[in-house]
Amino acid sequence: MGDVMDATVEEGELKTVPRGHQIIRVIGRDPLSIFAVVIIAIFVLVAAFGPWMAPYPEQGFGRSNTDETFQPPSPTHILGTDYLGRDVLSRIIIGTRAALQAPIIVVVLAVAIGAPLGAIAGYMGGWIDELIMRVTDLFLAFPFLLLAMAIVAALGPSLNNAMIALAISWWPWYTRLVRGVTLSLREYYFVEAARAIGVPDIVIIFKHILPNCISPIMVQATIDMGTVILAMGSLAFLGMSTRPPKPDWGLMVAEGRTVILRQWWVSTFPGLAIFITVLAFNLLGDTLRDIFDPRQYR
Amino acid sequence: MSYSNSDRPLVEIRSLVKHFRLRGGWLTGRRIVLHAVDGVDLTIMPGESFGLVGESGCGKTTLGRCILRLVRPTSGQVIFDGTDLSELTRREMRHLRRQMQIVFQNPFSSLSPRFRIFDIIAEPLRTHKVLPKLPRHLLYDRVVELLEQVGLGRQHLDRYPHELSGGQCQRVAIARALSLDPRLLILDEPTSALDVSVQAQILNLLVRLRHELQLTYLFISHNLSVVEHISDRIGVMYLGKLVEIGPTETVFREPLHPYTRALLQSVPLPIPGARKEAIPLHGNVPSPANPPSGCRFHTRCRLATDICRTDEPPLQEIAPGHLVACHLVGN
Repeated sequence: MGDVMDATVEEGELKTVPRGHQIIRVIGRDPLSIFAVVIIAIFVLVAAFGPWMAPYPEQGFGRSNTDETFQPPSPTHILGTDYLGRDVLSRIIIGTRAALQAPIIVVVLAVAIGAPLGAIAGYMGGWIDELIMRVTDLFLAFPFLLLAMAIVAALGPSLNNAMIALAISWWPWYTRLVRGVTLSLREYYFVEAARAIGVPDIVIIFKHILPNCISPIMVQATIDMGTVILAMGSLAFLGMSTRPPKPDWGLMVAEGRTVILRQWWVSTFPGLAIFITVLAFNLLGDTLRDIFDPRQYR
Repeated sequence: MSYSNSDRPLVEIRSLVKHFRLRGGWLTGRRIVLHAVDGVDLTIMPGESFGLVGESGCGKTTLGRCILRLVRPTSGQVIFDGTDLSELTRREMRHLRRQMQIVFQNPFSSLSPRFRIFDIIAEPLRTHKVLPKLPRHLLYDRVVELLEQVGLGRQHLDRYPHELSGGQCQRVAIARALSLDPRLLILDEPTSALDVSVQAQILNLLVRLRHELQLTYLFISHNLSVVEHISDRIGVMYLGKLVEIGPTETVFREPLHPYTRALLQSVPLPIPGARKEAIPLHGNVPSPANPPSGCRFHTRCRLATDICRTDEPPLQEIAPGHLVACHLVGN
């Protein structure tokens, strides 16, 4: 082993590509992710500028127009009107904001509660793990919609209470997910190295474990966005969330269900809106996993 | 900290035992106990480089982790510079960690994939608040200094571990271990995951750092040539026990324990016909969950006699500094 061996390792400089370009490159690789991103971008725009985009904004917000009940789709009412003569398109547009906001809040709450608990359970092990996981089992033992309904029934029906109820019945999934990831991360040398350095356990959990759980959490959260949109719709359908006359996609499906054979447009179009958003979020899940993984940037 | 008697060992291990309880069959209710380390006595003097060799699964890694308290020993003591580690509170132990650090086998998994190189090396300094009320540029200077010490440069500061090669990752891991100015560095097979030319670079780096920083090494490896290159003294471990300890040169020239001889036989030599009598190893290492009675090596030892099967040989000093645990040696 000569002195030559000890020379500093030299290697070619890596081309540094701006992060924005890298993200665009990851999205552009797959037509489905382009589709998902475009759809969600449209919905976000509609959510932001709905009141200026809707053809009949005041009907969107709930004012009835009894002269034109149950109009089929036509140039004046592109998606028809409902039992109070309100423009379905306007109601879908005005309802977009709540339809996107609520699931985001629910998922963020569920992750905020569930993920740290999962990391603590997986990292600490022993009775702490046992305790946390038995509590999650307790929550998971109920069908989540039933649990959410029970909570709403206790709190009283409103959009806020529906969100709280869904978050409460949702967090245990993230606890399980993150615990599983933590169990495998705990075996990595970098966690042991942090312990050897003397990094306190709580710092290891929040700085070393949780950041490395981001990819699976993001994928799960995005896919859950779709499921939560559906669940929020179900709660609204059952009259346990948004109250009429406010627009809500799930509520609109419910309002049209008795006339679905003759006035099919009343339920179908808000249903389609739910369908497309859920699909787009599911597709986005895969894309986000790629974006959040720094190893993708080669 | 400043006071250090050179006659006092830096690390003193007294009858250290680590058993791992494995969950046996739930229905049979049988407990399986893995004897990873089974009564090891060892002293390492300041400034020394001690090589610990043995086949995989012999407990050498667990021994290293017990010294750092990454695993809690079942019984026995680890005394670091006169302090019994088992008597320390968590806070005192955390403080003492500044003086002993470890470099792991797999350079990729030993660096957090979401930290930049700067943050990886700065983390120990931040954790222990080494530079009080530290202005950022001081921290920056120190990290750059550490990087240059291990043969990297400031161009690597903003990289992520996956952007570096295996050898470079291992250099970062070494820089991180050095950041707190430790006195003891445990090197747990630091080169075995690297290819040969990079192994040589890392070894030479370690030799250089040891002299520059007056470090004490515990070098754990299954690669005898590597250990010979870097160690002053070596210990040979078999199934949780030390079977031979001695100065590197003596052990390599005159191995006494049959296991050591067999290990040395397995090293490829550059000179044809340079071998002495061959004692080939046959069979596998017995399970540490059910170690053999008497001398643990007797199941694979050609020279084994009746006493080897019943009585456990003690570690005896045969020549000054040369200890062997074998019934056939010395009598």
